[in-house]
Amino acid sequence: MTQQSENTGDRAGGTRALAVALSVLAAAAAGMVFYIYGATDGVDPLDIVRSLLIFLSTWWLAWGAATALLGLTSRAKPRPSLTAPIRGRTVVIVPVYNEDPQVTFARVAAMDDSLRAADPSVPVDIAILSDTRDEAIAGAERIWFSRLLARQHGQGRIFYRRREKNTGRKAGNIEEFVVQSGAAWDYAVILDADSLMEGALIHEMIRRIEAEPRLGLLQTLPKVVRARSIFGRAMQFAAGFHSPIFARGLAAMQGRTGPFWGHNAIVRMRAWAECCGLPELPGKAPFGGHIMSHDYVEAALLARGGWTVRLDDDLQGSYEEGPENIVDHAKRDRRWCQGNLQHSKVLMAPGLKPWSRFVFIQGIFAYIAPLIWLAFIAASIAAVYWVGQPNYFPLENWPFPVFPNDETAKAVGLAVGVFGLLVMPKFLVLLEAIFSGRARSFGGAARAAGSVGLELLLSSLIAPVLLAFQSRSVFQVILGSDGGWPPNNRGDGRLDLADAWAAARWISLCGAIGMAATYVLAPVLLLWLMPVTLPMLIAPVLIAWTSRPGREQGFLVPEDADYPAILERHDEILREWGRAFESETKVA
Amino acid sequence: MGDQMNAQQPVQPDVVADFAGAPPLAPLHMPKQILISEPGVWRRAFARIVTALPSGRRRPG
Repeated sequence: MTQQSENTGDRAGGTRALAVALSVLAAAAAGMVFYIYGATDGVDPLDIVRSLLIFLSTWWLAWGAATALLGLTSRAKPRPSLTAPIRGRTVVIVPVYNEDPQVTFARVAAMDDSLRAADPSVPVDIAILSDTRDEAIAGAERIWFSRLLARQHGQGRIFYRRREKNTGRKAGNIEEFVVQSGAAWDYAVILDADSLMEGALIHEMIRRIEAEPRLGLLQTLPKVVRARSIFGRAMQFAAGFHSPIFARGLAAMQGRTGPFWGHNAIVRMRAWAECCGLPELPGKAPFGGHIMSHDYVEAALLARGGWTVRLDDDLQGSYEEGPENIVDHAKRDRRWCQGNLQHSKVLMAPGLKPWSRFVFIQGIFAYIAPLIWLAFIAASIAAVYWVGQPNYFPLENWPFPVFPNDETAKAVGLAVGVFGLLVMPKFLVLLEAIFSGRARSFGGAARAAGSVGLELLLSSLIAPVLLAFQSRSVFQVILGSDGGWPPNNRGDGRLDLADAWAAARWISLCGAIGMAATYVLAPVLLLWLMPVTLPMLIAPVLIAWTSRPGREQGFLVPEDADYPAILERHDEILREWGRAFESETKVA
Repeated sequence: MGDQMNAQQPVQPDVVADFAGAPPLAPLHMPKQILISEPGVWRRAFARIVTALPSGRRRPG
């Protein structure tokens, strides 16, 4: 068993080294080509700065491409699973924070039905852990809990408790539960309020964790479901179509230090208690205080404690919901940004596995990457403004002009290369989907290809808007602003133009200033920078438009045609409760 | 599986929970982890030097 794990780790070491080497090589090549291009008219400091920025941003793109290539070339590994009956006791943890209790508790009812339908003999309990601050919602939670208990006959199997203070947020909520009640169970399935998992999947996860005594955490790849808006459906398609390949690439590199994404995962209670008591970091928020993105840290701590953390990308039946508009996406991203940048403080924590530290660096880099692109654009404008025309008569008493070497081909090659790193993985995933037959469940080859093209177009259009939100988040965190923990917006998420204007007028202003500055300082770049400045200028229109309901036939995903049983069950329970309690007004 | 899942439970009359629904008490020890390293030799030496330096806030006279 130990030998097998060691081998797995060694193989992952080679795969990681290959991925890092390939991405660094691609980045070095891009930086070098840019340097040669920039040095045509003599080397100036801006050429060196821009070459370095190209190196960094290309590395990030190449890293994504390398992960996709690994995903395309590796196969799902067979995972050991228990053949004997399950012996351990499991609790499904559902942390809630100012959520609509009717919708959330209906999810619990649906999962309980699914678990009992899959195999009623497997001992699985459910605990709803409320951190709700709103007293009206908390009151409604108590009422809906009693209805849930009555419907499921859940006395002694389904639990509810509310904390007086939400110290440590979600991580603190789970920690308090483990400290008070953890010894009652061997395993815990950690969910989010919007998670749904098929009962049969939960049983399979229990079998796998029970089959491997050193497995501390097993993560599933949740599918995004129930998206309705144009933005939501595009993100749902991208997650359903591309993410399995990227996840397989990640799984090929994980060794024993896989990821934890905070939900839709099972943990071994003993390992969790032993390793995951999170301290407060010294100093004030945003860098000090409670750890915001606790999941990455918990995965690193489990690995530090000698436990295996693993992503099994072959597990099906794990679902979550995503944001329906760009503003909600940006709010969630603000939280993640602060959490990831906060990881800089635990980067040097004693005893961490090198890969865990690298994962922290990746997370930090994901948020710094947009700033690198911004810096590159600014440096390019400055270079045009400060560096004059080339000197065509450098030799004294020589009447003929001396033209610098024409390096245009290199510049075009570099642009094509960078663009290729961006889109090539998506096209390769499309080819894989067509040849493997996976595209059939996305509406067939032609429709899948259309969706990939449209998603590429849409993501290119909204990328500068997301870049603006992300850059603002990074600046806010660096300047010491704590974003707090706003509750997630659920529902249809539609925004009118006034809402979108209120949320993104500053982006329009930045776009206008950027355009004007380019026109004044470097007019030759005006057209080149249009794909960045124009979407920023019309950001409110883009936000409002993409929050509108999308066409049902657009961005088809397998769940559109084959609606998962657990989602169907949840809908049925909501309808049933709606009929039974229709006189009531919803609280949240 | 589908048939069993569709075997609906009737909706019960509305009763507010008496909060016998709290999870059982079964404590588990969960030690706080160390995430920040103790200062190393260089940091300790540097801190000693900084402490030994005279404060810049003294006013002449």
